[in-house]
Amino acid sequence: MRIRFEPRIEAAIKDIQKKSNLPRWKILLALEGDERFKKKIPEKIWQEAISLVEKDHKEPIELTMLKARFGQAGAIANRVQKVHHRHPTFLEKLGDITVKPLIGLPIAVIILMGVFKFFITAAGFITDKIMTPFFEGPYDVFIHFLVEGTFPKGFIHDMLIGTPGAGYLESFGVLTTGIFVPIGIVLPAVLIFYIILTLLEDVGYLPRLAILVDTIFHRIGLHGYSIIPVILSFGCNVPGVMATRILTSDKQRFMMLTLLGISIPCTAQTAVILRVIGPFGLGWVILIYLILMTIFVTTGSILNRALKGTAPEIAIEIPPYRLPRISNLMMKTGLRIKQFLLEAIPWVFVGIILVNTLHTLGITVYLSRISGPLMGRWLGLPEEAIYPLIIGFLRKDVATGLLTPLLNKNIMNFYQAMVAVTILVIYFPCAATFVVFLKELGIKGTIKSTFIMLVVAFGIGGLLHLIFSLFAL
Amino acid sequence: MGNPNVGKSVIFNRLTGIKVIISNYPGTTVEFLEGSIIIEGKKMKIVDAPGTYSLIPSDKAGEAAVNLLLKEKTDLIINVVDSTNLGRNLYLTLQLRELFIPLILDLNMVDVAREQGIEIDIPALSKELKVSVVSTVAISGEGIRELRKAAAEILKRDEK
Amino acid sequence: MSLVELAIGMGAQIVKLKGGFGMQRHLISLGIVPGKIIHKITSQPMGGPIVIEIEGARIAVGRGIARRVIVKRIS
Repeated sequence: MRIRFEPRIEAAIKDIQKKSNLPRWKILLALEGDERFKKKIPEKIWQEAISLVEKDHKEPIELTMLKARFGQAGAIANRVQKVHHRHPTFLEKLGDITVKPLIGLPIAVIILMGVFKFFITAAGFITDKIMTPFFEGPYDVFIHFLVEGTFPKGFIHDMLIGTPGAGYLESFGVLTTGIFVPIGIVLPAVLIFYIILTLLEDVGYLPRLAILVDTIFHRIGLHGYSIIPVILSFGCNVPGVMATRILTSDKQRFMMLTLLGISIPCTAQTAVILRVIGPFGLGWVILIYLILMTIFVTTGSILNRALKGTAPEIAIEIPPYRLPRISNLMMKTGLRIKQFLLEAIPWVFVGIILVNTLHTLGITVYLSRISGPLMGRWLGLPEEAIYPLIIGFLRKDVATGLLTPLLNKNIMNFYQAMVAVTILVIYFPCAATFVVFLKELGIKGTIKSTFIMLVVAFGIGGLLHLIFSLFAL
Repeated sequence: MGNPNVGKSVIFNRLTGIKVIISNYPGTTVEFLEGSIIIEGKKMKIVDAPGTYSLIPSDKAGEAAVNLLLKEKTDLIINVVDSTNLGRNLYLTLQLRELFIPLILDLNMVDVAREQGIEIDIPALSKELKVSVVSTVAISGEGIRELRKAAAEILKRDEK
Repeated sequence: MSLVELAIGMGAQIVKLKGGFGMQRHLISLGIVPGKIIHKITSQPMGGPIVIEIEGARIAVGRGIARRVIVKRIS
């Protein structure tokens, strides 16, 4: 049953076996470099046994064992298989082309644009055509009946329903906004992104994309596969943050989380950009995304140098292209959605309750009063714009509702709106992300990350204000 | 058990009933699926371990797979192998064989191997490794019945 | 000559792997073993990863690692 190694190695194995009564397979793994079993063999015995082999091969024992076992595996394979030469199939040629930079990068850009286009139309459709009518229709009647009956007035009522009459975005009640945002807005966005991601994964395009973007990510100490959390975060930062688990070192994970929080706008943030800045022309919207991208790279490279820890290089196998199987696609997406619902929704809920209590207790109003002057002078924003920025820290969608009227009644000019929106987008996307940060990074990590975020937010805000005021706008 | 990207999860879906849950292996953040499989009327737990190239893990996924194997009582290992890359995949197989836990070698993606002009002499491989070998195309479900049958035979022989 | 200098599309044989044991183990487990024949498919600009083909499989490695894979050209 066992495969024999060369005599000297077998002798070493027997020698250790005699002196340490460890089973053969543990000794073999120890010889191949498994620390856990190697510790079980006293140093003296270990040295004696391997000295002969190492003298013979002039390389560490682990390497000799590795090559020996690999040689056996290769030998068996060659004995049992016949390989007929054949020209590469169409899929293989396509596979190689899409990874070559000259052709691959443009294709990648097209695919990503297509992904976002599909996302915006599909997620928008579900939210507007399915979710909103349902929430504002039967669901609304149901909860009003439920709550009005038991808590007609008072604190509990405000907590559950929030300001009556306001739409499902601004009403702020736990049962209104608290349910509508995670289910009505976030869920469709996440659903679409998971479908896209699983499709890219099953087809085998994801590793190729990771390699194409690895150069940029490597500059800031991450590797190509971090494109996955980035794509996911455009849907919602909560799954994006959860996806950072694929990154190995803690340093990479901290950097990735901070960068996601700062420069990757989630659905709500994208909505703020489109609704407030959109009417002023696509050019300005693209400018904001360009600013975010530069922040992503610059903050990334600064953090990369500042933080100690390694940045391992990418070394992966690229699977051949395969036709995706619908059953497998549905199964995987279903599992990911189920996991998102079980893990993420509770945090979104906690986040909203947190904001509600702050809001109803009036703490947010107090906060905006004390930080008013600072914001005013440094960012050149009118007094009225301060409150949306504070509340916007935890609720982006609400900020839109508060900023647009200021703009229309031109209490705030367009350039001040640009500064305000840029800061809003740099902030934590929403309370849920803040809470998930706590879960993933712990208190200390979150504080550090938040500090970096505030520095970047006000730094960029101040800079923009400076630039705009230079042009005497 | 098997290298990453060999189709373990697809085979896992084919074998398990509907009830499939995601559980995080304690200690690491690597998720893997647990499910149940009926063999000879007996309900058994089956686990889709994360991919690893060797029993000496080079990343968190590998660690989780190895810990799972060594810590929990394992009656049978289904070693899924990518038939288009037999040589490299057998490295893990040789290591697994040393553990004296009953093993089935599942040559998956034989359809892709055939396309690439690779033919594998299964009886010869089985004789070489003294392990039962089946070939499957997980995506279409071809060969899954033989895999179940082989598992049942080994587990029955084991009970004697 | 290392993988980095090898021209795209050229065939080569792996001579040896420089560098730490951990890295060598990972490369070998990927199939990058001294003696094997490889073809260089592409390399990403600005110090990006290099993609090679071994026995039909495609492997991508970071530029730093590629520098430590020593190969000699074959016709």
